Amino acid sequence: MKNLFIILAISFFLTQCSSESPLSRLSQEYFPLPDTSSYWNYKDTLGNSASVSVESFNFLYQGRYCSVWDFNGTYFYVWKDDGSIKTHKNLTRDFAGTSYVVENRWADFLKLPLLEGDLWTDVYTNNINIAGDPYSIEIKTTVSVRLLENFTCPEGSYENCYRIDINRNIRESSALLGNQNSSEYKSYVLAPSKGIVFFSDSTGEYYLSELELI
Amino acid sequence: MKKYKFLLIVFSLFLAAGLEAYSFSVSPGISILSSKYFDNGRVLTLGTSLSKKYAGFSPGADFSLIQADGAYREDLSLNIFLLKAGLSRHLFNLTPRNKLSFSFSYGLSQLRVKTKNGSESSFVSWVIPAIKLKFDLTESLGLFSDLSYGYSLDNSNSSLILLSLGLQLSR
Repeated sequence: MKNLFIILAISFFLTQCSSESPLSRLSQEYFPLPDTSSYWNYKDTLGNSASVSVESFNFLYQGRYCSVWDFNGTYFYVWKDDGSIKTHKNLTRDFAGTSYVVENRWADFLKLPLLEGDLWTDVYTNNINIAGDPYSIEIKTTVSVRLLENFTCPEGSYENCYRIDINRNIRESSALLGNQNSSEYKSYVLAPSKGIVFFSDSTGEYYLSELELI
Repeated sequence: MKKYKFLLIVFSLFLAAGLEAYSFSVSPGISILSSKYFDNGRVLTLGTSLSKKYAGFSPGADFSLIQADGAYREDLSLNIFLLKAGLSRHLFNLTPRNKLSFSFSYGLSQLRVKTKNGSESSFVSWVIPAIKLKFDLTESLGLFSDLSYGYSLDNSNSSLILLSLGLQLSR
């Protein structure tokens, strides 16, 4: 009888602990790729607005059928499979009136599934010859993932969100230009079935205020 | 919540009953979780059952260790420690030495998904119907195969299929 009570108490305690399981988060769609004309509208704390709209859903670009988003004025090419979400990176540098492509690739934007504490680094290097001068670039992208129990924005309140922090450091070296270092930092909050409900970049922090997913 | 409490009481009663085991079994096998992120995995089950019957049903308890690797990420893995308890009933004999039985169990698992740097874990409950085909090698030793289907009681609608082959020793 004593054993029965112990087992009963342990079972009850364990079940009380089970709120949202990783299995249920694995089954959620955190980065939906909706059809053309879908949009997300955002506002920052000062009332400035930003928007993301789906321009094309099945667009052949750089060897992939991808979605094309107008991400606040910049085209964002995104492609998804079961293990990752990839975006196309196209970085150019101008030398003496000529434009040189120094990065042109599909790179992991997110590795799936999203997991609390996940962290990965992607290093891309390229060496090219520009006007007879050797040029090298190293782009180190660090992505970290955190689980947020809930997140509130003007559009609504969401549970089981993930915050994605992306840090991209670029080191360039050439005899003509010397060494240059630059970095950019972006973060996103993803909610189940909604996608990006918050993002921040060099222009500010934007919270989802309205969306329509088709 | 009422459903949980009922299942917990059933689970606890039969786990306690399982402490007076009549038979012990060990069975390795394969596992299939209904998630696109994982390949087919492995399962090792240790089981006990009672000789006592209640309206034709015998109580029993199992412990299973389930592991699966990521289908797309090398560093992704899944571990499930599953404790289940339930009732089994003999259906019929295919031959004098072959017995087919059905069981229905409640399982409580500690589930952990992890990568090199990240991990998430929680407790997940399951309902697990199973079919078992046992072949008696001797009076006290039997070879059996067990096909179990688990349905998770969280809101993920996840399924788990376990197929194992093992030995059962009866007292």
